[in-house]
Formats: sequence, C-alpha cells, structure tokens
Amino acid sequence: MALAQAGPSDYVMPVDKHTTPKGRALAAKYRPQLLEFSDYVYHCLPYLEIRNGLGFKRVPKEAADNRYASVWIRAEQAPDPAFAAMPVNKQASAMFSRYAVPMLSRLAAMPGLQADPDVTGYSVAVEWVKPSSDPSIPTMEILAAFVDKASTKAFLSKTMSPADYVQGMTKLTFFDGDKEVGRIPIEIWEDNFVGTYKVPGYELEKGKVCS
Amino acid sequence: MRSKIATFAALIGVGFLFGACATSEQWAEWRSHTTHFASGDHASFSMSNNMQGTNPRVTRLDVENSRTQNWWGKTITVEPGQVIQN
Repeated sequence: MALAQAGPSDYVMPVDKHTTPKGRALAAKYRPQLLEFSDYVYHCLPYLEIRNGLGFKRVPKEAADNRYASVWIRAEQAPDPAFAAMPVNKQASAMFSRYAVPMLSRLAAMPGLQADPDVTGYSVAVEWVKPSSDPSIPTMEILAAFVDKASTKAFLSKTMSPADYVQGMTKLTFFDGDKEVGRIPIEIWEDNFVGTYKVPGYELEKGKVCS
Repeated sequence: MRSKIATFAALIGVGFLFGACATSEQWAEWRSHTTHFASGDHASFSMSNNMQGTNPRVTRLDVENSRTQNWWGKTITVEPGQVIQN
C-alpha cells in the first residue's frame, strides 16, 4: 500500500491539539506564520524533519500556561567516527550551534511574536541519532531549550554573549535515548551551515525561494 | 503523524581527527561544513534520473519517499511529553 506523503502543512500542529485556550488561540492567530516556517524547513532544509508538530508549546510539568513558539527538528546525518569521539556536550553544542540557532533566529523573526505578550519565548529541540547506537533500533539524543524573547533578541543581535544566553535559558535538557539526563554544559559558536549548504543535485520546487 | 526516518542523511562534520578533545582545527573543520548526502537511496534516485537522460536531481518528494521507505519503525527515545508539552 502506498503511503501518503507528508507536506509542509502536516508538520504544523493542529490548533485543537494545543491543550489550553491560550495555546489554541496562538496556534490559530499565527497559523500563516507557522505554515510559512514549515514550508521553509520542508523545501529549503530537506535534511531536517520537523517532529511532533510546529506550534505553541510549554515546558513539561510546568503548571503555568507559558507558551513558547516551538519547533522540534530531527537532523539526519550519516555516522561519523570523529563526531562519535567527541564528548557528548561537544556533540550537543555542535548540533545546537548548527541547527538550533538558525531555528531560533527564524522563530524570532516571525511577524508579531516579539511584541505578543501571550508568547513567553521560543523553544527548539534538536534530535539526532546517537553515534554507535544499534542501527536497527537507533537511540535518539535530544537537546531541548526554552528561552525568553528578550534574551534571544539580545543574543541574536550579539549584545548578549553565547555563554550568558546559555546560562540564562529557562530550561535546557539533554535526553539520551529513553533517559532524561538534564542540563549539560554547552557552548554556542558561529556556524553558517544552514545558511550556506546546498544539497547536491537538490531541485527546489518551482516557485519556491529560500532566503 | 507517523514517525519516519531515513538513511537519506547529511554527513556532518567530516574530518575530525580522533580524540575526545576537539582541537581548534577540528572545530574549524566542523564549521567548514564538508557535508554531503551519503545514503544509497540518494544515489539510486539520482541514478534513476540519469537513466532518463537528465541531470541527477533530487526533489523534495524523493526525500520524503526515501524517509518513508527507510523508516526505522522503532527508536529508543523518550516520550514527546517529556521534552515538550502541548
């Protein structure tokens, strides 16, 4: 049986899947921006896959209904011995610098979000296959960050250092397979991969523009 | 949405030397992003296009098909709700 192919709109979490009125209101209000975001990732960054729905999420187990514009991405990469040899916090730093920062930048640029008092901040989760895990049942590693809008704006405009930005994150959690490891020390450095890398032979759909 | 994943992959950070501590050269190599798609599936649909007499091209639909066909089905990971709450 042929499987239906997912399109950009399938990666946006439906309004009614948000569990509170505030979440649903934000999801409805910013649906055009979310669709545009998803369309960008889908067409321009084909090596990334949005997971668990782009939307307005909150910190797990937190009672307050603080909503973060959220994206969870899976970065697909081939096994690499050198990457595997790096300490886990360096691997996480590299993945965050390469993929999470551009996602944060894109989220922060969504029209309307910065000034919206109902949006607490931004959340990015980056997921990748743990090096040396069983290829038949891969172990996933995830780094998830929740950050406020003001700090993100300062970090992106380079008026806040990466170290201060990491230090001030509302929540930063690393997951190793089915275990929650907790906060790990990461660094953020400049990485222009997402902005410059072109998939060899990749043919962008007619009418799409990546910028 | 159904979980999918692929052998369609971007090879990231090629060129690190071995060792637990990365040198400045290694970080420079990471940043130089010598990255490419390395899966057999990518090669196969590129070859398929070649056989049709066109330049090797990969469309977004090819990517999606590859993900679907190479879906692992099961991974060791946490529940999504542990990472983020809807």
